[in-house]
Amino acid sequence: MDRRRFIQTSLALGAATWAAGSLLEGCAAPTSVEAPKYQGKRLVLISLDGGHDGLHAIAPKNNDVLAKLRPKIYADTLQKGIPISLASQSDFVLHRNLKPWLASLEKEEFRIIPNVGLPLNEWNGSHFVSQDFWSMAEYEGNRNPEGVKGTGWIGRLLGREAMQIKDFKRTAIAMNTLTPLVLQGNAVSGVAWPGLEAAETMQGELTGWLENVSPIENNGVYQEMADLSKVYRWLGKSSPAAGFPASGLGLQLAHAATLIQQDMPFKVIKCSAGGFDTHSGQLVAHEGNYPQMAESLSAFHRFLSEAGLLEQTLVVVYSEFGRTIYENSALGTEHGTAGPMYVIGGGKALSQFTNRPFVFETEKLAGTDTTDYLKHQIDFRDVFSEIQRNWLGV
Amino acid sequence: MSAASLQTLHLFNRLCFGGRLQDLDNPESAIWKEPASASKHLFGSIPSYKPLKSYSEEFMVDKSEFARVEENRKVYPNSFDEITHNWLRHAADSSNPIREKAALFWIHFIPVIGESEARVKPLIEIYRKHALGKLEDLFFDLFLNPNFMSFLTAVNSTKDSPNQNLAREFMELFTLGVNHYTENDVRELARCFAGFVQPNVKIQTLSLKAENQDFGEKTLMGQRKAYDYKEAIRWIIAQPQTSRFIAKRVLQFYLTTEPNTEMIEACAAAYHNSGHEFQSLLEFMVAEPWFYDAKYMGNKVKTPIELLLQFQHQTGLRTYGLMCHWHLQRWLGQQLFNPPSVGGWPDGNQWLNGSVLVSRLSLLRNLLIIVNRTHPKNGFAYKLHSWLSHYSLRLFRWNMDAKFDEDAYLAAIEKHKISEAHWLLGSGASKLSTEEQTSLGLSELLQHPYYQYC
Repeated sequence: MDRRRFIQTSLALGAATWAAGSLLEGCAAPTSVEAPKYQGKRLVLISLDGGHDGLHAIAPKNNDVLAKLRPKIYADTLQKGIPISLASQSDFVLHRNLKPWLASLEKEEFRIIPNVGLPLNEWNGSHFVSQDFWSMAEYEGNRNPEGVKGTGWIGRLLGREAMQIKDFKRTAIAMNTLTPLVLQGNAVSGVAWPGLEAAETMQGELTGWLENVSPIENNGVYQEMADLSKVYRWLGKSSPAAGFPASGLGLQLAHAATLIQQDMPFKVIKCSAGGFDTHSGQLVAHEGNYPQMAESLSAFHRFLSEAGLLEQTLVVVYSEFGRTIYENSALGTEHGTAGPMYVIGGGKALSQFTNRPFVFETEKLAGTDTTDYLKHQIDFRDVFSEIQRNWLGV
Repeated sequence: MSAASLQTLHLFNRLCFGGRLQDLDNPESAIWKEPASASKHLFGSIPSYKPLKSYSEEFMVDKSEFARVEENRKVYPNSFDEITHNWLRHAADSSNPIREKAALFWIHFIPVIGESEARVKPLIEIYRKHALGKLEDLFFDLFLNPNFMSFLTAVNSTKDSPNQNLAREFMELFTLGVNHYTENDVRELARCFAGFVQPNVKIQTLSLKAENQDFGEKTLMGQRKAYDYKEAIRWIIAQPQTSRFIAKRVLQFYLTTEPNTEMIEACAAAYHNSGHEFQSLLEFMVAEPWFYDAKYMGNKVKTPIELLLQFQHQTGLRTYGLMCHWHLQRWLGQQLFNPPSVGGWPDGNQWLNGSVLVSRLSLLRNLLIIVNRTHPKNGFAYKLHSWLSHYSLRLFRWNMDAKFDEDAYLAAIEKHKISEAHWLLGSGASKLSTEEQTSLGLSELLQHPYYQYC
């Protein structure tokens, strides 16, 4: 049976390729292009998925509305809460578990944009719709030119020459196994990279596959494999940056730090952290994820500071929405409206937003009289638009 | 292959997990000649619902395996991997997997993060039992399941401060879809859903506590009434928008990520008129000419679970070993009962990038490398063999094996004069050159970009 013999041969070949790939790393490389070096400005986007309750993290002192609507959560924020000494935020208190931020906050290397969101008539209480809003960030000057649904605001920029580094176009990377919407474009998308260990071990698979399959023109799958082979080869040679907590976000930021150290050609790096959809047991949940978030971000701040990269790296932390002012019977909060954006580094970038005084104002949703929502002061699309124009220079 | 046979294969790909070798060899193999008779045969032979049996004995082949099972239980006392293993093994072996494919639709449509073996076991049976039945029966059972309800933070919700999570997701994700309800509907529905408690942690059924329930009138979708939770579910299901929303998701799961309005409306009407019975909707859908439109054939990206099961159905290969399915699911980026969010998993082209794509393209070929091992476990030859296979298989070499009757596979293909390329790739095979159609073998076809579609 000829076909049977053929299967056996190809299996043996596959195994041999793999062995060669792992023993003599890089020898059988179909592409051995060096990574173009990049030392310019970078943007690090971090999404806190699920709807981060900013009012639990930072709240005004002596506030009757909060004391009435969220008595237990407000008490938790105030308990050993850290007074902020900045002029614009002096009436506000930082949650005790976010203490690692305090030093950089006072040096204004860590800054807060208060009450970022959407006008209430455009707001949507669904995670998915809202996450898509933040990923697509569509409006006027920032609209998807082809009108195709489902491209991210960074993904759309990747086609532009200003985002290219030498002839490399996919200059955005997500610390993930799949490319998120924010990095998906019409013609060019960012790459997804699950971390150092995986990148190193996957090279053999990529090499083996590319040798086994004849090239197919205009085939997305083939092109993606060819590109990943190149990128994973660049990244697989790194070693992880030290000094980061072992949490999910901590590891992603450690990997991000590594590729910044190695001058890798990525202008935008996307990380994410989950666990913020606190419909119940919010105090317990935040006892765990606030220290993780605080330590991960301050480790990244420390890395940038020691490497002298604070001026040219802009870190922007956001969530798809905030949460309701009132707490529910399960000591949680429901999907709300505005929330803070946290900004690290970037010199004076975004100062027109970070210098705004904190205010606490509420508004009602049209057609309801029962609930007050936190009023947004700043449209997130204005912030992204500013980043696009004046930070990324597109 | 004739156009009608390709259409039949398309039907098997979408309604089941591809054709099985046994289907080829079936005396009724005339079913391959055209889709209408195949559909009649398939719907006429759906096995009645039975709870899953355990496949544990398969991997407890010797004492060392058994010891590892026990060891694993100590480390992960709440692991439910054996449950999903049993389901995947059952779906791979099933003589007619229409029910299991439909259960997979519901697992996608109503994704829940599993909490423990005790809680996932009844949950997976709810999806399977009602997979082809009435929508309200599915919801009524889910609302009494502590895993589903606590995932949506609906246990211990009270009338004084009702939790909105379940109410919102029920309308947004499971029935009406976004923008078809108001924030006021969310609040009112949350009142209807207050009162569930779990009286005993050992009993995996919730009950209602009268003092937490809200017996007052609520305004829901414009109608004011003192709804209880069942009446509220029925009232929302009765909205034509629910049929429309589910019909769209069904078409996206079974046919194409971009169904057109006429298809959605036709399916919605059929579903609505059947009293929301899932099997009626499926039977209606596969009888429509547009279901066999060339642009939909060989053009849907397989979800990781579809990839895994279709491969096993088409070749007869079976994976064995404690945790093998856990590893395979994890590596392909889709773990059952561990969705990335309440919105479930991505679909379509979103599966075809990053390290998930690398795994998808290489894993099946590498499974072929470890088939039918006879080396003693823990021996050098076994380790070397594992090491030569997929990098991820290396990491858990003690826990994964595969059986493959290559002779039976080749004999079935040859006997029925079906090109191997067409059998595995369906319509995708026509995109290959004539030479490739005849020369590519199993391993090449499984790692071909076109095998990513069905």
